[in-house]
Formats: sequence, C-alpha cells, structure tokens
Amino acid sequence: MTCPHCGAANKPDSRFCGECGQPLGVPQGVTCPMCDTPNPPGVSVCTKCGAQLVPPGLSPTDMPLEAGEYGERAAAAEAQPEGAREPAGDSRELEETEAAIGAAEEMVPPWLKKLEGIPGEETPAELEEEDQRELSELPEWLEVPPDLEEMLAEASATASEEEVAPAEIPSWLQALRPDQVEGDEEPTGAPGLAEITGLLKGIKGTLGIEPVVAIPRRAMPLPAATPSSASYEKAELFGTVVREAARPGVEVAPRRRVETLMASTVRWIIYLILFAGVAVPLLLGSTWSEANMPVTSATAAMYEAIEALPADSVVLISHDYDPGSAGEMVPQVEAVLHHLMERQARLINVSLTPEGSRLARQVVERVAEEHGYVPGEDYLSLGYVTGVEAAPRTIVEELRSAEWSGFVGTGQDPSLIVEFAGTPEYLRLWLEQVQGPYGLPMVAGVSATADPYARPYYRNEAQRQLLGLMTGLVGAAEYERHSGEAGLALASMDSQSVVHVAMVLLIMVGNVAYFGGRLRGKPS
Amino acid sequence: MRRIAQAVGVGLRRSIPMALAIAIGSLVLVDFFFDQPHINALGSFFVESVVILVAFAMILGLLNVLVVHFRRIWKRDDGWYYSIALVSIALVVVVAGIPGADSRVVTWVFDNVQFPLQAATFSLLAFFVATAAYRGLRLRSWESVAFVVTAVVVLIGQVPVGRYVSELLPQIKDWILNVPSTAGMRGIIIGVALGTIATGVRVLTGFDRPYSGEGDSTQ
Repeated sequence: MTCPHCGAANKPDSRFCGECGQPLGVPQGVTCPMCDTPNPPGVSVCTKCGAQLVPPGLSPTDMPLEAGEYGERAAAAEAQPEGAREPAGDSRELEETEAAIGAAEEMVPPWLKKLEGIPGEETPAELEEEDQRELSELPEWLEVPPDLEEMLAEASATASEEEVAPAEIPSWLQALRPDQVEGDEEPTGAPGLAEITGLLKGIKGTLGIEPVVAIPRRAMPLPAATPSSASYEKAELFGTVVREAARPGVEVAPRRRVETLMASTVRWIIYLILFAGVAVPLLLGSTWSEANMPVTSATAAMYEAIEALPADSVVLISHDYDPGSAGEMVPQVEAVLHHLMERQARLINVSLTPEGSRLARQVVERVAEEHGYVPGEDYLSLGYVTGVEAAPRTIVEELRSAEWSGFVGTGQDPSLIVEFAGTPEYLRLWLEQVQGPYGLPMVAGVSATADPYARPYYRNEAQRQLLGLMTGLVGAAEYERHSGEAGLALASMDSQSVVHVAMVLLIMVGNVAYFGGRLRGKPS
Repeated sequence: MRRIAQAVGVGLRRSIPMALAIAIGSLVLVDFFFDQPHINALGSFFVESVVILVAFAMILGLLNVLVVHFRRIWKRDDGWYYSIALVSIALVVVVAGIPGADSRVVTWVFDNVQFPLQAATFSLLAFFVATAAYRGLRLRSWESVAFVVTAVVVLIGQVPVGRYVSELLPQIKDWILNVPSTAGMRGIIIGVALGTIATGVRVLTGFDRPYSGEGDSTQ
C-alpha cells in the first residue's frame, strides 16, 4: 500500500505509514464535510460539530458502501492517480487509469447520485453566456476602459521607481508596539493552534465546537477499606448510640439553669465584695495605712535622687501614660511634683503620648499653683512630641541648643530625667535613646504592670541606669509616706489593702470549693 | 530596549531606597559610637527629620481612617452607623483643634468622653481579674501550687497589711520581685536586644527592606 501523504510503500495490511506515521486507510464510516472528523458508520450527525451527515430525507442506512469495501476502493483510487502522473505511452497504464477513475466514480454514494437530477446549479457554459449577456447590458460609466491594463502597468512601474521612505513613528506609538522576541520570526497572530480542517482552515484562535455540553464524571472507585479493630469498635459504639432511644431531658434542663444561676450569683458576689472593699474604707475616711505604710528601697532611692538636687536644677519630666493607667500614675506625678517644687527645681514637662500631655497639664498646673510656680519662668509644658524613638533624643538635643540657653543654660543637660511610664515601651525609649548615649541621671515611676520590665534597670548597680524606681499606686503611697506629705495615694491604701486581702480569700475559697467537689467526685 | 528600561526602573526603585536606608542608618549608627561634631550634627538632623515625618504620617493615618469609614457609609456596610459617629467626632475634634490643642471643645471631649471611657474600661479589669482568680487559681499540680503561693505572697506583701500577717512577708515579696522575676526579665530583655541587633544588621546590609513596601524580607 502506498502512503497517500509521502508516497512511501507499505505492507498491504498496514494501518499507518512506516515512513511518516500518517494513517494509510481511509477512516471507516463517514467523514464530516464540515470538520473532517471521521464518524462511525450509521450516524447521521457529526459527533464533533453536530453537522448533518446525510441530507434530510435519507436515512443512515442509505450509506454508500460497507466500510471495508469503501476503504479498499478509496485506497485504490488514491494509488491510481500516482500512476496516472507517469509519462504517457503505456496504453496498459492508461487503461488502468481510466478503470480507476471509473471505480472512483462508482464510489459516489447513491444519495449523492440522487441529487444529480435536482435542478439548481448551472453548468459553466451557461454561466459564461450569462456573464456575457450581463456585460453587454452594463451602463457606459461602468464599462472598463480599453487602456486599463496599460494604465495599471504604468502606475506600478512608477511606484517601484520611487523610494518610499518609512513613516516617522512617534515614540509614544513605538512604545505601544508589541515586543519582538529575538530569533522569533513567526508573525504574531491570534493565540492558539491554527484550524487544520474545515471552513476555518488556517485561522488561529477559533473556538472549538463542542456538541457535548458536559460529560458527567465517572464515579471514582473508593479505595479498599481496611478498618482497624479500634475503628470498628468505635463504629459499633456510634451505631449503638445512634440506635438508642432519646432520653428525656426533663431532669437536665432545670439543673443547667441552677448551675447558670449559681455561677452568675457567685460572679455578682465577687463584684460586690470588690466594690465594698474599695468604697467602704474611702467612705469611712480610714487612715490606718498612713502610719503603717512600709517604704521599699527602690522608692526611697528615688526620693533621695530628687532630694539631692541643688536648687534651680532643671528637671525634664516625661508623662507617658494614658487615662487607663492614670489611676496609679497621677498620684505618683503629684507626689514627685510636690517634692521637686519644694526643692525649687525648674521643670520641663513633655509627653510622648497625646493623652499624657493633657493629663499632665491638669496635675502640673494644680500643683504649681499651690507652690506659686509661674508658667514660662519656673516650669514649661511643651506638650505632645511626635517621633516615637526619635522623640526623646530630639528633645534632649534641642535643650542643648542656643534657643534654650535662657532656661537650661548654654550647652547644658537637664540635671535629672523623671520618666512616668504607663507601659514599658516608653521607659525603654528613654533608657535606650537618652540615658544610655548621654549618660544622664534618670529615675522612673511606672505602673504595676511595667514594674518587672523596669526593675532590671534599677537593679543594675554597675551602670546605675535608674537611680530610683516607684511602682504603681503602692509606690506613690510609699513616696508620700517617705516625704511626709499624705496625699491621694496614701488615702487609697486602705482600700487597696482590703481588696488584696479579699482577692487572697477568694483564691482560698475557690480552692476549697475545688477540692470539695473533687471529694464528692465532681469533675473539675 | 523597553525591557532594559523597565529593568533599570525596577532596579532603581529598589536600590535607591536601599542605598538611602543603608547610608543614613550607618551614619546614625556611627554618630552613636563616635563624638565627632560634623557626624553628630548630621545624625541629629536625620533624627529630627523623623519627628517631622512621623507627624506627616499621622496626618496620612487620619486621612486613611476617614476614607475607609466614608466608604463604609457610602456602601452601607455592616455597622455603617458607627462609622458616622467616628467620622463626625473626628471632624469635630480636628476642626476644633485647629486653634490649638487646648481649645475648649477639645478639652471638653477629652475630659468628658475619652478619659471616662478609657478609665472605666481599664477599671473593669479588676473585676475580671478577681473572678478569674477565684475560678482559675486552683492547686491542680505542683507548678500551680508554686504559682498560687507566689501570687498570694506578693498580693499580701505589697500592701501595708502584709506586715501584720508576718514581718517576713514583705521581705519575701521583695526577694521575689528582685531576684527570680528580675532574672527572668533580664533574659527576655537580652534576647530582645540580640534580636534587635540582628534586625538592625539585616536592614543595614539590605537583607531586610521594611521600607520598600514589599511586605517583609525579600530574600
């Protein structure tokens, strides 16, 4: 068998060409005239594009030939034209060629032969006559001039002689031109593969025709299940529970309600104890702590650092707290301000938080009025300074400048920095950005939550990073006690003592209830 | 050609901020270690510039908040009426604060809205802590025993009444705060410091570029 694609000789029963790999036989069934898709015999509609394979009125049983016969004859028909192209002269070959053509004509299916009798298409001779008749009836202005060919030849010669200069393309248009990949000389067309058959042959980027809208997925076979004995037991248990009749929930619901009520009651009792612990000593005006308040060494060290300041010393105070921690920070500030003003220090107040600025202003103005301090001369309130890490260093650098020589002294640093920090971050900023690089003496008053973070700096006896440390409302009370000026912090200490004792009692009661429940076998 | 220009553009967009960060960061670092007037002046200039930049960043932050909430109001997203409250109060405070931070309206809003709300929120913590102490501080294991005993000692030793329970109690409390607590916190601080040094080195060598807007490390 000769390959119709490359002409190579193949064995008679070969299905594919041994040289080029193309299929040798004509595909069985009917080839779609629209998309060239081979279809199985007996179908009336193309399986790919849905085109009608037989004309209306004919059934698929009118198919021309049996598939095998069709293929053999077609192969013969394909082979014969090859021989027909051989030089003429051999009459035998000529006869064979004619016989092959006759055989090819026999291949015309009967439904197509039926169509031959249907009038509709004219023969080429008839068409030519009709054209001539129409041309003779054309108006004069539509007639082709006799010297048209000469004019066209002359115009083309002129165009080839003139050198057409390439148009100047503006740069913005050049930028829009698609990139040319080096070495890629293929013209960029529509994406995708070109159509190889049918009416759209050679056109790229066409949408495929899919007669089948959706093909349901075949159900995936489940992997072979090999349950372990443990899983099997669990499944059995689950099945037992599911099959079991529902139990009446009458007993459970009231019990839950009682438990909820109990928990809520306990919570409210705790709240009431705390409220009473705070309110009752304040309402009674108890002053028991004023005489019994111990003073820790850290608070005493802070007091001594301020006490050691000479008169007219410049002290920089940073108020870095917010309303949340104001309850313990404001009494600290008040106690220290009283002491500083007694020492006749000149104060510069700043804040790294916007809320701290407002809170500080209220306290400073009140205490300054008590001590007869004049704003602008004895103390300054510079307000909120932005910059986070950069702010402390900027403040100290600014104070060294000539603009501040009147208040601080030319090139002088503050004698002491007092940092009031509601959170440890602000204390860290002052320690890292100012105390470390400039070596300025510093003390700090911090909230109770910030104490563990501040204590290592106070305990660093080699570097003396913090000369003193005051912690929370207790620290403020210690400071008041040490300075001998009772204030808001000492007045609050009785309440704080009661609440602390109440907390310890609550922990004990909770543990008694816990162990009692365990003894009764209740879950924790 | 266009690709080359694009590559150069991308490279410049990355390398210029990186070069600036490395140069200025190194200069401020050198200024920290050496006392040389010119370097100190340059270092101070850059540090002061940060203050101005942060101030402008706050303005941008305010604008961003307003835009986000205006959009929520416009689209009627969930809780859009809260956005109306936020936008209106923000605009009132901003406009009222133009004459100065001590204007009457700003002061009134701080004293009567912000301060009570923040203080009340923090105060509620005491009630929650008390309830949690009652329900959670149980002697379930030896570790929890140590935890509960420490909490009780510090609670009682912190207040004046502790002295009347035992003279030793305030001393034990001081020891807990000064020795074990400080030792643990020192370890944390040293770890944080080492991490900060490592981060600083990575930024100064360009391995981390938090300023490039690319999220985090580009390695």
